Amino acid sequence: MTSTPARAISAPVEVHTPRSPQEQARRVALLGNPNTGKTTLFNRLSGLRAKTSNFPGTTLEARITRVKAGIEGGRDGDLIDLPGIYSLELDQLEAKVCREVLAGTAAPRGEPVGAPEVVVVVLDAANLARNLTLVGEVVRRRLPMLVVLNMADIARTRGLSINTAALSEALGCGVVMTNARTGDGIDDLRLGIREARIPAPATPVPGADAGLRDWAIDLFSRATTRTGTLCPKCGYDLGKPRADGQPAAGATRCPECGLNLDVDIPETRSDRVDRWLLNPVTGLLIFAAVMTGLFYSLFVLASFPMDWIDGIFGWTTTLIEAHLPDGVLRDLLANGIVAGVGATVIFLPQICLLFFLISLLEDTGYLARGAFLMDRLLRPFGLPGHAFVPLLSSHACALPGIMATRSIPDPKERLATILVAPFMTCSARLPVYVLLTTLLFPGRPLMAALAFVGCYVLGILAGVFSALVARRTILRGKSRAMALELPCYKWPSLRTATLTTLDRAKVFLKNAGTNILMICIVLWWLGSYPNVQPPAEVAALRQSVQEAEATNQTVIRLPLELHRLAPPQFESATTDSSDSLSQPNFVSADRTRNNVSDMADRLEARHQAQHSFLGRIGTFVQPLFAPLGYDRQLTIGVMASFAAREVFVSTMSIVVAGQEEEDESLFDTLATAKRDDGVTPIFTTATSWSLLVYYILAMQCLPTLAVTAREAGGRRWALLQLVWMCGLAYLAALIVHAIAA
Amino acid sequence: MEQATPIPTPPTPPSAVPLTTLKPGQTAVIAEARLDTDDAALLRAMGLADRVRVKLCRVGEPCVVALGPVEGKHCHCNGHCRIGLARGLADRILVTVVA
Repeated sequence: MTSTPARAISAPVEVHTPRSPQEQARRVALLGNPNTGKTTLFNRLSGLRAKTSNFPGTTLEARITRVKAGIEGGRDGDLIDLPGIYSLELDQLEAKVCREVLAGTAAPRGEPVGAPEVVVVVLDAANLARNLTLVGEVVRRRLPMLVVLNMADIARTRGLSINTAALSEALGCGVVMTNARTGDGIDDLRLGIREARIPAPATPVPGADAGLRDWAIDLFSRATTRTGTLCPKCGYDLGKPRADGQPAAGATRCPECGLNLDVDIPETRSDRVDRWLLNPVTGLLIFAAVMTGLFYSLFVLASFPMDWIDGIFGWTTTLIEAHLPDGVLRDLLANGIVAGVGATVIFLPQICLLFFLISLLEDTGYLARGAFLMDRLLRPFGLPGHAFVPLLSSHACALPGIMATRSIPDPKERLATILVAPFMTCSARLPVYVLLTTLLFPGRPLMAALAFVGCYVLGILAGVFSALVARRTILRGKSRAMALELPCYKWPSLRTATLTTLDRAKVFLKNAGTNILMICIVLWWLGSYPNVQPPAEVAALRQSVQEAEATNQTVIRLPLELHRLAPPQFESATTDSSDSLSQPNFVSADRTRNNVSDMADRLEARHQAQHSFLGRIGTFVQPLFAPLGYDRQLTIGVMASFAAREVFVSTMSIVVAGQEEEDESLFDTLATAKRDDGVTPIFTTATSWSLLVYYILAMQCLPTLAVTAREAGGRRWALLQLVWMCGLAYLAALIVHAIAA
Repeated sequence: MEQATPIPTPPTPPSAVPLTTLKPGQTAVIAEARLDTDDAALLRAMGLADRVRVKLCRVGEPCVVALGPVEGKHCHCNGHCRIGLARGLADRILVTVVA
């Protein structure tokens, strides 16, 4: 706290203070209404350095970054981005978290608890009168404060001039003007944080709500003036001198059309656009087109970098196999780590593109309209329009989706949304969808794409159906009505979208480099150990091959018991002989030398797969999945997916590795993979359909269950989610398999 | 936490009508919001409080209202803030028509 008089900070102040190594970074809380550009400002300050955690007891996201003091000797600040709120006094979780952080009773996880040394209140300069009530609420708390007027350029284009010095004088604290999009005023903000002090407003803040509003309006009137601009109704240049020679700036009425500039509310361009975008018919059509375009570009544009990543991991595997000696290490690196992680990281481009596009849409102001359009659709199922963004986010990952449900005010509606959010097609399902739709429609990309869209639709339908069941039974109750601010349409910020995307990519790669890497290693170990000796038949076959090589024979006569082991696909390689039945120890079909060698390799691989830990687990559980058409190997893939869905493809590639041929792609390998009988394909049409439906509906994500338990306030909700989703998935997959078979 | 004490609001004038009965483009002043405490507090914080001049931009689902100045207060309010309201909510907001 300082005793210097109140003033606006408009230029860097050269204050040199010796740097003390004991000085810790200040804690700075960033507070503001929704849609004030607070996140853009935070991104501007943090770049890629932000740490993401959450507030304890909640999963409200807390982002923290270090802000440089901006001048020599100044203390850096740890900036905490608080949730956007309209008032600190509301009975909402976001407001409660903000209250507790300001009171010093809560802090983001991992941060020491304590009151912030500075509160930075970000205001939308174009909606200043309303935003100032939040300032009043912070002033009441007597914390060092800095007011940031963001989007002042928009206010200026609307004919409003804000006198920061007058506002600073009236509030008794620093006021800076920024443009988060361009970065203007960021240096002033850094200085302002250093100079922040407990505000001493010229007019004390009243305690009553209505009094606070009047206080804010008086403050607004004192600090703003109307400047020359075009009349919002008729376009008349209000800056032109009037007939009496006086400048028109400050006039309250347009001389051309008579619009009262202080009272009348003009129609804006956003109003005209909303006539189409909120219309029940055109709005929904446009929404459907936007969503289709979003997901189409997701698959078309992302395919190029996905191919590159695939190539890089393939090249790495080849490099490892070429340079490392045969053994456990080479196997672990090539088949466990590189193959497993590569099969997951390949989906990074799709995740990046999805978050980039969602961020762009949000920045334009369209997502708020989407929430209302969805309210119309979701309300009959007992879900509010607020659930739209969480459900949309769940299409990337259920974790941020479930976390985002905190914005839903009604507890029952929030719980219903949490329970059904994992039905939305998350990015972890994409590898499975890509695999299965490609297997179902090889060489028919249009049909595969339609099946893909069908997967999304089925997920959404299952979600809303489940929500309806929940709202009619265990979560019965009145729905809360919906109110949302509709920000004016504007061009999105590429910088904000890029930073959001990079932030999410970082989280995904961290997950891939830790949890998924661990799962891949464990699965590789489960699939490779214990080492079992090849069966005697394999040794006998190999001996036959060696004897044939020694005598330079190309055809081998197999003993009857060995011939019986041969899978039928080897029949085509036989040579006919008529003396079979007359010679009990020999069969009628002779085999080529290479054919017998290949047969030995496959038998050995299958034997290893059957007797590995993973094989034993799959064998134990397989009868449960047999009605769905899943064999032991597929069951192993499904079981592994309970840890994380995205490991299914990599698991299958490891499980069937014994049958893999080097020059085949992963899809081809899996498409030709055979069951243990060596005859039936693992992925028959009926099995593929059944598996696709199972993956759309089943709950197979341990982290999601953990978050559900935490968000919903009890493990019973996570258990309910698991049982309901898996039960529904099993039933649907059973029906689909029966129909397709 | 310091508790804000609401001040008594003047009685609703008999001419007050539900917001949803306005035609798009009509201007009115909010008289009363017959909502439960939490909904009313949220709307107040969003700017939809008594004595606030509003213009109905769109009627239906959702109702869109433009926020104007507070009656009796000199304010260079530019009326660019839009609030979307579910129809059920807008039905319970009573207004007196101005124009």
